[in-house]
Amino acid sequence: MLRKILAVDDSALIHQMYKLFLSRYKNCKLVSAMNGLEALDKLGQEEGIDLILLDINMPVMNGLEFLSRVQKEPAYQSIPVIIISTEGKEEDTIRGLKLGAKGYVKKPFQASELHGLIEKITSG
Amino acid sequence: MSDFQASPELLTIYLEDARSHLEALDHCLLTLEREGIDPAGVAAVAGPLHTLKGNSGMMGFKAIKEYVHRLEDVFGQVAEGGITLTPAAFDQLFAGASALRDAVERACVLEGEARDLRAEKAALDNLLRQAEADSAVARAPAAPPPTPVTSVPAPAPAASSAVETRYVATRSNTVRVDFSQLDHLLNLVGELIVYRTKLLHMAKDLAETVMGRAAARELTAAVHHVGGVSALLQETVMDIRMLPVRHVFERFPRLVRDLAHEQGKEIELILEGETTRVDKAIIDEIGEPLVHLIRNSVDHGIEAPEVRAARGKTRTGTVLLSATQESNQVVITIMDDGAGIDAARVYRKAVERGILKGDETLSEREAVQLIFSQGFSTREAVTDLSGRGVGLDVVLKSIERLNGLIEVETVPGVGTKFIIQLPLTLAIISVLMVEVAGRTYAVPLSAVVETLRLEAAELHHINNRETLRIRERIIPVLRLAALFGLEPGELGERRYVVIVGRGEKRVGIVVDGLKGQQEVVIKGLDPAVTGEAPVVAGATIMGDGRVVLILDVPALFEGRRHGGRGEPGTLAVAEGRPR
Repeated sequence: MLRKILAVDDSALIHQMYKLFLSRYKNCKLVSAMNGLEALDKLGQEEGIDLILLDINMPVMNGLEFLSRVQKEPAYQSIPVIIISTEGKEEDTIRGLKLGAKGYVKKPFQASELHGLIEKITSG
Repeated sequence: MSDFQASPELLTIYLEDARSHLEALDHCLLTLEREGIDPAGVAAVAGPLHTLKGNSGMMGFKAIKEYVHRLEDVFGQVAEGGITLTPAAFDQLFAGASALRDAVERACVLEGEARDLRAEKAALDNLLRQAEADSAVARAPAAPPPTPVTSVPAPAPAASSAVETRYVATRSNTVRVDFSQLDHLLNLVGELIVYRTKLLHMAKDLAETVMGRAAARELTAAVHHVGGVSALLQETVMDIRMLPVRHVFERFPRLVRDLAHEQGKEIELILEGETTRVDKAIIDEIGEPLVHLIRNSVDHGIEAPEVRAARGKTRTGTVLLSATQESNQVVITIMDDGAGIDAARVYRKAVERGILKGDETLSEREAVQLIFSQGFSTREAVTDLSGRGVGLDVVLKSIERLNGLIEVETVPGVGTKFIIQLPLTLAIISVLMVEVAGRTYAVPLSAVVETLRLEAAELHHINNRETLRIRERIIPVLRLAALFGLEPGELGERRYVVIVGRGEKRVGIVVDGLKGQQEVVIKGLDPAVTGEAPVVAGATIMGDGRVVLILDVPALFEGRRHGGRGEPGTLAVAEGRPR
């Protein structure tokens, strides 16, 4: 049962889409951050985040930097991370998976793709 | 399209984002063209492009996404020195950026892609192919290709960190709010202030009559406190509505570049005071008149390079666009070091166009202002009059709609300067309260030239119209009472006349009394209402709850708007020119 998802992306549009796409998870709170640094703040403030959706290319602190910091933090290590990548930066996705991300979805993605991956990752 | 509906909300967010990314693209291209290729400059556009690509993909705008993707490839090559951008290549990139902008805007209006970018994409593919061919040549042990002046080899390992550090935004402490909500908030605050005044009156009355002293003091103190907080609240809301004029100015470097290219001119545009803040409602409206004026400077002000050289000027002309705040106004100037305006020529043209009879004596300054007259410039006028005046009457009208003023100063052979004065906000205006037949009306202070005591004997009838002579100038006079169909008072009584101006024209408005000036929150009126009273610009609510109408001064100068009511003779205002 998902309770809280942290969505990290510098695009307001993507956040709006998450709101739409994730509305099927009833009682699940969506926490938004516009970059890696803000996401670290949110991790500290919000208890019980059980999934992170992570964009790579962001100002201030990018997704890979954020991911490597999260992986070093015992309190956050176990939170599954899904990379939301954009075409053309495949090497970044691979780096992210090596850093410990559980899976990735490529923009543009369909709601069903995201749901499928979320369910696969959170159920097992 | 994905498995969701592109709602208007999503489209709005997408469009707003896309516009800022496209602005970054234009800015990057302009910098690269002007200052040469530099990896940091290229890196600055990487983030915006990447986000634009991702967002476009999510919206299902495939052609846009593909084009941006290709553009990323091109910039990647540019940063690595694989592509040398020739002037022709820059032209292609600029054209592509325009097409992209068009595609984005259209896709958002039509909720789906309507413009294919195949031709533009092919141009990018050509650039990329060129790069490949060049690198093949470079690998061959032949003479090294001539080093382009502007190309700087990109340090490959640093490139990706440069992308990250250059694409720096401040930490997001912002919330997105629909502007109409801010409007609504301001309206509420306006009403709050109205009721604050009412509350003050009531507290005073109560204190004098029923209440004990201590209770009265407390009530008055509380009311004053509420008043103070409401004033702060109003200030804060106004402040939130303010945006830097940069939002308008940032399009102009591109505009000037394109126009100069088209006409074979060399022009440098200098922007100043881009951080000056103005109400968003004004930002939204000011773009078009500014485009008009800048275009005017480029088309008719700045001379061709050879002409400039022959006149002993630098080949490159300068257009300076600046904004400054002066008390509660913002002043925008557009200055060029071009040919200037020939006053005699403007005068002749005005006579030809029937704006002047030809027997008027005007100072040079007055003559030059004629370029703002309606009918001064028509399409054919543009070709046979090599001076200025491309629809400047339209500019004047737009500025007046914003309660602003525009003036022109010129020195033939040296240059021209347009000066626009605008209020910082449209929501609150300073007005002069006047009284007519027991009712109160508000006249926007920006239009008031002076106020005078009026004796009945000072009014003269010329051609069956009431006029007033002030300092050797004949000014037509309007009676506000007649304009609003009120019972006019006796002429023997003491009256005042409020002289209002529009450019060089003047009209006197006869009123019974002056009640001082005041800041009011202006509320729009439904056209169904203003149709009945076409000289009304809006209304405001007073402290006692009364609604006061605000006069539309520019409309007073346009006979046609109110010629149909009352006695046409008294309403059709002749222009009050000095003779």
